[in-house]
Amino acid sequence: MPHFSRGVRPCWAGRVAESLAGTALLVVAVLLVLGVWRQLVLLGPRGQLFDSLGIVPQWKFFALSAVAAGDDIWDDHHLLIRRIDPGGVVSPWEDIFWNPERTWIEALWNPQRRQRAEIQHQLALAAVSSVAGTDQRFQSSLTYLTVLRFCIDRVRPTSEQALQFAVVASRGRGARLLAVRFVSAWHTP
Amino acid sequence: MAYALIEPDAMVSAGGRLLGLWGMVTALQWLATTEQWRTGSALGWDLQGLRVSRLYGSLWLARIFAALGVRGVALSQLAASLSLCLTPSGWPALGALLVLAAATALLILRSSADGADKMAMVVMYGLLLQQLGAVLEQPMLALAGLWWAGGQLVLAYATSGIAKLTLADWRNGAAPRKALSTYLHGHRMAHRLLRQRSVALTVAWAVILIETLLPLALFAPLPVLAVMLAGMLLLHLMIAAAMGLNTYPLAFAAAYPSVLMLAQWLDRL
Repeated sequence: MPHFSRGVRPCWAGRVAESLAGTALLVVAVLLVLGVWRQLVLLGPRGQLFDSLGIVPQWKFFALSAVAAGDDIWDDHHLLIRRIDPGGVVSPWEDIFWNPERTWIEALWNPQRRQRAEIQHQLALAAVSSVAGTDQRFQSSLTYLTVLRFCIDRVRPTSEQALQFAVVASRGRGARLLAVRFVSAWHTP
Repeated sequence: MAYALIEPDAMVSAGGRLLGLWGMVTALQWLATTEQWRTGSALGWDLQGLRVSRLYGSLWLARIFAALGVRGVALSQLAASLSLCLTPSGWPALGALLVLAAATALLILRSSADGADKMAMVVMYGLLLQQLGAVLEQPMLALAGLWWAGGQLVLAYATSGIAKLTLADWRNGAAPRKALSTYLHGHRMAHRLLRQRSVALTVAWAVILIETLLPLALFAPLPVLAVMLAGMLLLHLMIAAAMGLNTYPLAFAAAYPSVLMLAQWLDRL
């Protein structure tokens, strides 16, 4: 432990400081014990907040129980869009978001990771939603709106065009065969 | 025990500097992508702030982001991190840690936290207690900081290792092979290596063993713990290369000085 020289200070200040220090030690001990228990439970919204802020964190990384649930969690998700013009001509599907091959520089500098992870998470949620793209309740969800806005922001359709997006999954490397998981309704900007 | 005692002040400074480096890389990455978080974008606060939760519905979060924006908060994180690297002890370090914790928490609420963010927050709380203990001359406060940062790091590795031990896909080497076969988490070279079952099995069990046995290393001679931590750092660096998780090595390494001091404290009991 660090050794400190004790200067002159009022007695009451020293007692207050010692009480605070003792309280801090107790709080830390309690949180550590709570932390052990928290590794075993599913977190609700408040638990997730305390987890995110490192107050009572959960540490499972790639050892999630979902690993045992099925190989779908190892899918790569792509976002495809197509447009329809006023004449009814539908464009081919266009891949606007996918995971490219990783480069070595990303070991040091990877600014896109956070944003890509957010979009990827929404695509995965849409993929497992098991609802039709025309489901109006799902169209109001944050997942649907985030993906839709991403498409409109990326593609910038004209006011006369409508846009439809699809979430498809691929697995493994090499020739990526795509499996359609979700198709949206048509939307105008 | 015939090994050099760890100098606490040097360890606290080392932890602060490593955390400062993590903060600088994280902040610069935020600043490089502020356009993607602007109002009107898919991740704009005007949409993401609609999350159903009392926290997101509260006005104070919206006011902070309206006033500062992601750029302002990331600049605060960068300034605090730089200050921590330059002056990792004393009152300036305390101030820097408070600003860094606030800025990082805001950015976490703005998006979401990955493992590196969580460990960095843990280290921030631990270093705050350690620094406060030093300036107020309260060894118990500093000890609380050691328990926190060191304890959470050991808990993190132990949880991860034991959880892997309970999953068949990890015990048979399939989990790392499948994860690294994806474009999201993997790298073509790592994928080629792990296609061989023996390599995948060796990697899986190496990770399981080193993570699960780390708590026991707290009670072993200090050089043993130091070697295991070096092994974990190497693992983090390989994961950074294979999976692009570039902020993990610095965030976790920032907690290593606390673990070493915790082991020294346990040895003296």
